[in-house]
Amino acid sequence: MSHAIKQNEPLVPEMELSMPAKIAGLWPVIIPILMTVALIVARIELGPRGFLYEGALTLLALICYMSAAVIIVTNLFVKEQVLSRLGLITVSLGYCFNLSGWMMRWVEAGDAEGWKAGINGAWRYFPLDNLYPLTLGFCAGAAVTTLLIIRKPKYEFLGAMSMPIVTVVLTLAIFLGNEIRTLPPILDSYWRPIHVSIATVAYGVCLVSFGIAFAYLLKDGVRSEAIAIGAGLFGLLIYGTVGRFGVPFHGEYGIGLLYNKTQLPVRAVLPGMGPLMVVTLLAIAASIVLFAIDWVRTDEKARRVGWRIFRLSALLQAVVLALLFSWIAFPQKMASATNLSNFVAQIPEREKPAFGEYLNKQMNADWPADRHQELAQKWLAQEDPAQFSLSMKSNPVEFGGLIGLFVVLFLVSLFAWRRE
Amino acid sequence: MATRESEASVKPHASAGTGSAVNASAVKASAVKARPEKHDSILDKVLQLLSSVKFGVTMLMVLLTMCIIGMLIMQVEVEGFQEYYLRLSPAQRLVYGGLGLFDIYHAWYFTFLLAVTGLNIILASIDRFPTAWQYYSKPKSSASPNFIRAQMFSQENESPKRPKVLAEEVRAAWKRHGFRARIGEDGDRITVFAQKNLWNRFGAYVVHVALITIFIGGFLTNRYGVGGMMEIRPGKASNTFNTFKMTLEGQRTAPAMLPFSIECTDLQQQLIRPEGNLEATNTIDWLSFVKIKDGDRAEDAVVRLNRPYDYRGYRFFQSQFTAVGNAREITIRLEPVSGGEAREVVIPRNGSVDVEGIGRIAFTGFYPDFKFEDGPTTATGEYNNPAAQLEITTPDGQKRGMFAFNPQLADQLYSQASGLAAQKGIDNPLLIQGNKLLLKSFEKVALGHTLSIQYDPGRIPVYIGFTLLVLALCGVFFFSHQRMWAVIEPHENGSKVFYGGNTNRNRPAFEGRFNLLVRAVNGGK
Ligand code: HEM
Repeated sequence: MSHAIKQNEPLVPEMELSMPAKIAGLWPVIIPILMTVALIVARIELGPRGFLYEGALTLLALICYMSAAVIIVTNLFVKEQVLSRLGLITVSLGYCFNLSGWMMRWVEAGDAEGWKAGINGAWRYFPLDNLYPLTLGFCAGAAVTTLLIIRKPKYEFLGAMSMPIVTVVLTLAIFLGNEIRTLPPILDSYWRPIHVSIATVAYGVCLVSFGIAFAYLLKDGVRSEAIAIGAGLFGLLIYGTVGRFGVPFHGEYGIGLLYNKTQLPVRAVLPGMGPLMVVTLLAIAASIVLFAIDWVRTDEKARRVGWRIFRLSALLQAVVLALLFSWIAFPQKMASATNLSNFVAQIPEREKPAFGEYLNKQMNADWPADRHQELAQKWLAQEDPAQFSLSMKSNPVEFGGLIGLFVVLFLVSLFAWRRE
Repeated sequence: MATRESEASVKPHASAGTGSAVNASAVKASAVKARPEKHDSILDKVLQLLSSVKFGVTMLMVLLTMCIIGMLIMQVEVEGFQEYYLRLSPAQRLVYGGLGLFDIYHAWYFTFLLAVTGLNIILASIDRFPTAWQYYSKPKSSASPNFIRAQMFSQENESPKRPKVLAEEVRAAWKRHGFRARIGEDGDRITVFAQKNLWNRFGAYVVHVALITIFIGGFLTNRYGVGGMMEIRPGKASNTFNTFKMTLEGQRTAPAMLPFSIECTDLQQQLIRPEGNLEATNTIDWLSFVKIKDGDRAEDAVVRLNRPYDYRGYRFFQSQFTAVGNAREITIRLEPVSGGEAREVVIPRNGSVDVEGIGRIAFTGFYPDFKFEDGPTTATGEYNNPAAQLEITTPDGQKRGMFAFNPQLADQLYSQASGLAAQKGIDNPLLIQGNKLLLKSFEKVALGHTLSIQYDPGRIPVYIGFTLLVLALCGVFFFSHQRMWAVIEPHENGSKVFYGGNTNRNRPAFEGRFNLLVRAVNGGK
């Protein structure tokens, strides 16, 4: 049992407050919910106009969350009452936009299909139909939890942890795309809202628990270097495995290809990503080694240099993400900037036999195993290169890992710096 | 620990550990086993083994290992098993197959191990139950200072008040904090004893009952469960369905019987865009209307995609549809060729209507992509060229097969036929009493639906078991049996009090409560 925990009072020691006082204290949550109701009513009454679109509202939410992250993180260092207040208001506003965007999707999905009466009435359009609305819900959940917690100045630092994460996650969601598709009939079930929302809430709880656990590690006086080594090992795991072990073994990183909206089990190497990732990997490894040296024989210099390299790796990781998302968001521009004629040419030879095997099965052909590579080459050569595109959806776990790594490196750098 | 919690052998409270913060950490060794060791017969030894927790842990590990094997070696009912099987070496096939590892969860030894584990849980619980029961039957309502000092938390105080007065004060103070105390006197010594959540001692048994219930449910499913498929089409009835069993040689199909019969009365497929096709992406729901005939009882039922129907332990689910276009009802337009007003009639699938001047028109068949090739047939399952087959019974009792074609096809065929008829000098055979028959519109539906049928006697026990398990685990771990004592002895002109506290889990939380209860007596808040 740690002393750090004992010394703290319970997170929300509000039991002594009277009911009206408790409710008044909840204004950062209540106001955005009321505003959301107003926005939804406006959308239903006025139809889609102005910014009454899910997409627009989500973007506004992202801007708020981003600003809130900057404000709250800055306030870790400057500690201004005004900034605390501003941070709270910004998160609150972001929550309002986020929540109304999410609920707006309900209306939009129903309108798109003409509100067919399924077995569960309007629940057919409940916005938890794929990863995109789920992420919106998750961010809204994380934001409301943050709002509840950071009302107490003492716990404001938790906002400095959750807001950057929410920002990154919402960005990821926006890259997923907000297309509304017909719900597969099997999902028109009362079970979907129950099951998916509980799962989503659970993710939110995990996020906040992660933040709190991390905070207690710091409070308990665990050495920042030990935490950094843990984060670094996570980084090694990520870079050791992403892109089918491409980074350590081939210095390359590729992402999945789409052929005409069908996902192919083959990847196209993105120019520039591989070397950048190798450098990041080396930076992480170097900082781990330096922290280990410091740990074994208390070497102040190793420690200082270790932190510098560690922060550099967080920065590099940000660049990795920026480059990766540029490729996905603006493939044409990026391709012309790197003189790339098409993505098919970027498929490494070593991936072709397995891809040939896949094609062989898809086409019900019976090419022998030693000619699968040839089959893949033949097929790729005959298809129109313009049909191939990159997809955000092809490797979501991997992207999650890369984003998670950034968040971890960033937070560890931030809090270790703050501690000094 | 079969002995009663006594003054001589103070029960150790293992789970909470013995941290440094303990006031009196005089935790004594476990009570002596009160079991005869000498003349143990084989039966005794077996029983002892079967009721030991060590054995239970071993069994659980063995079961876990088997589950891991079941994950590492692909199981026969998993998709892609045949390919996996072909890739294995002959030796692997022989050994794994011989040991039943391809279907480990149905192997006899797996069932046997589950049964032994179940027995073990039952016997171990029975063995320990009397100890737990004593917390209820013989609460420790009189104690000695020594006993108190051996508790997790203890504290000693002196008071100028007389023991009896003090005892009443303790009782009142504790009551305010939700601990109802009783006062026991033993000579000069008074014991105030209070406890909370005594039931928590029995949570473990509820957990075990839940586990056994789940095991039993699993066993019933495994042993007596039946699952299969039945295709239904309007107008057809059946009491057999097909079951599928995966074996090393591939899928084996066998018929199974229902103890009642199912007659399909109607099928419906609700489409998102009625002009679109029958594919799943254009579908809101599939509805199968059936009549269950059970002896002289009959029951109407509807099976929908996410709303299965239960009857006598059998569950019917919508599973697939036969993607050949059909019509749930058709609208026929009767157009007199000589001019005059056209008439429209609506006929349901397999139904008929009476039309004045023509007779009874029955809707007997549907061709979504009509083609004539040694008889009427359909080229594909799509609605490319729909036509309905009719049977017309004229008022004089003659039956005549006819078609109602879609307007495009009708134009083409009628002009051809009237040309031919004119050559031969007969009436146009495609006309009925001088009327063209046109298929004006129809409601799309699949040729047939396939219901999946499950008979699972283990379902209810498994549901109950898991619900109970979750509730009981919450009950066990979120609460604790907390006991408080205040032993009061006369001391000089006043009294001496020995406070003791004990909990069976979550010691840190109880520490606060103990201090609070002690302070409450001493006038604190
Ligand atoms: C072969 C298997 C098992 C045996 C022999 C066994 C035996 C026991 C025994 C003797 C106790 C102590 C009861 C008491 O002191 O009143 C106990 C407690 C308990 N058992 Fe089991 N058990 C087995 C499997 C399991 C499993 C699989 C679970 C969980 C799903 C479980 C959950 C519990 C719980 C929650 C407690 C209460 C613990 C506490 O009070 O702190 N048991 N078990």
